[in-house]
Amino acid sequence: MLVQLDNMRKCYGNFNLDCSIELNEGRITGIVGPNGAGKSTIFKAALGLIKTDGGSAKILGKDSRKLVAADRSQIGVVLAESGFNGMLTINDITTVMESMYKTFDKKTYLEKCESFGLERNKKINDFSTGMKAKFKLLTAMSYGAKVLVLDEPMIGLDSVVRSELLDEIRAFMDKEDRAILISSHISSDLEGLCDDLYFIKDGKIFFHEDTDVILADYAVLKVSEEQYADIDKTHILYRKKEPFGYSLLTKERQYYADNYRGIAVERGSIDDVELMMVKGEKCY
Amino acid sequence: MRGLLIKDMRLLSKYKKTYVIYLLVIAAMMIRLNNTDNVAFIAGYTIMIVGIFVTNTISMDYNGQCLPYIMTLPVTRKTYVAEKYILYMLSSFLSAFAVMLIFSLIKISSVDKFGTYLVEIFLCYIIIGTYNMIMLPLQFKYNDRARNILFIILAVLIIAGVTISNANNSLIVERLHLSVFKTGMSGFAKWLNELENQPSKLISFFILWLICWGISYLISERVIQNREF
Repeated sequence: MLVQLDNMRKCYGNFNLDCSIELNEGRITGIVGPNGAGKSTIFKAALGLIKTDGGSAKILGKDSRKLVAADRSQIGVVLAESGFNGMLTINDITTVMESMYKTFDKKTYLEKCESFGLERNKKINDFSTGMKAKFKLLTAMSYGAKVLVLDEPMIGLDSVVRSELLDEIRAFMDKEDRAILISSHISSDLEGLCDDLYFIKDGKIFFHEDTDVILADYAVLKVSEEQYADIDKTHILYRKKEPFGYSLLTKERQYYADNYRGIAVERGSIDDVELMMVKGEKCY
Repeated sequence: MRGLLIKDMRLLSKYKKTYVIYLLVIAAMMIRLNNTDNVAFIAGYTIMIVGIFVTNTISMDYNGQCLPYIMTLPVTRKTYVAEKYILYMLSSFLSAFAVMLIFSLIKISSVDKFGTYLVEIFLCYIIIGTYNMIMLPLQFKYNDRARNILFIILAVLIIAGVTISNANNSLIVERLHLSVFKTGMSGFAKWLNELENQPSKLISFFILWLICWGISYLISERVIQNREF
């Protein structure tokens, strides 16, 4: 297991984070949740940047607070609000990376920077938001890390840049022993990328499922008051009051599609599932 | 460590204009002070500026929101602190050496004063080094507020020192038993004046000074070890 948070707890005033997360080799695991849900705190705990108040946080099988330089050279990191000083240029950072990472692939790194339109002599501060995001990701992937920890790598980006970065992330997974832990508050970003997803709200993981299962089996049923009264509620997980009646979340999409021809059965997107779970009322 | 040093050197190299201004000021001072042999002032000024640049690299890491990311690079917290201390030691030593070299070249006719220059620059190095050995842990702990805190501490110490010196046999000195400090201070001042002519005392003082640097480093390391990012 490359990342393991076991009942990891962290308190900031009234905010209490308590979660368990696992990331295995060959997997891309996503963490989805609204702003302030605790995603960044999870990443900080996994990277040993904060002390936990209970439980354990391990990365590469080691306590994250006890990582040595050799361990850190196997971890690629993108943090939403932190990076190299903006006064530096790609040329500066290339020299720094060369001296820090034995496995730094300078040739490929500079080629990728060029192909992404990142000027080598331009200060990072002068890059656009999209360019900064590309630069951060390329830097994290430049030395063949075993695990990538990406906190909101696509925040504030347009769909074209997001798509480019998603392609890069997929390409990183060419080697089977690698893994990625990624977060986003835009869940659709993670839909076509992640093998499994953790949903977090108010510091608690309230749902964990394989992405394929969510997309194949989950559905949102749109029913009127009358239809709701008649429908089999055995497989309804959440319900949400709507002007037309109810939206219902189920894990048995096929069952309702086969047996209730008159109702709208919409295949569950990550956004739909998250919305129903956050805003809806639990039915089981 | 090497990577961090390169990062900081590259960062410092972005302030070329500031260095040019600094060099102009130094040049002007050297011309102005040419006849007064005031090497201590120029050495002090140079080492002080270098110290400010080094402590500014800590501010740059803090204020640029870089520190959390730096801590994910293949360096330990201990290495991060050690790098700042090494950077200061190296750059302040080199700047003191440069001042020494320049003065030796300018005043090449006054070979007899070489020893005096050396001791003056050395004492400047020690005094400003002492300021920075206190400054660095404060900088790690309080970042930009560190300078204000240190100035307040220094101001309090200076005012207290002046008060004690002037309040000979006063009621306050008597009641608070401050005469002990007064005697201690004047003794220390006398001892400091004698250093120039007593190499063994100078070496002992230097060793003590290095031990204080070690303590400063340990405090800084503790600050960073306990810090959350």
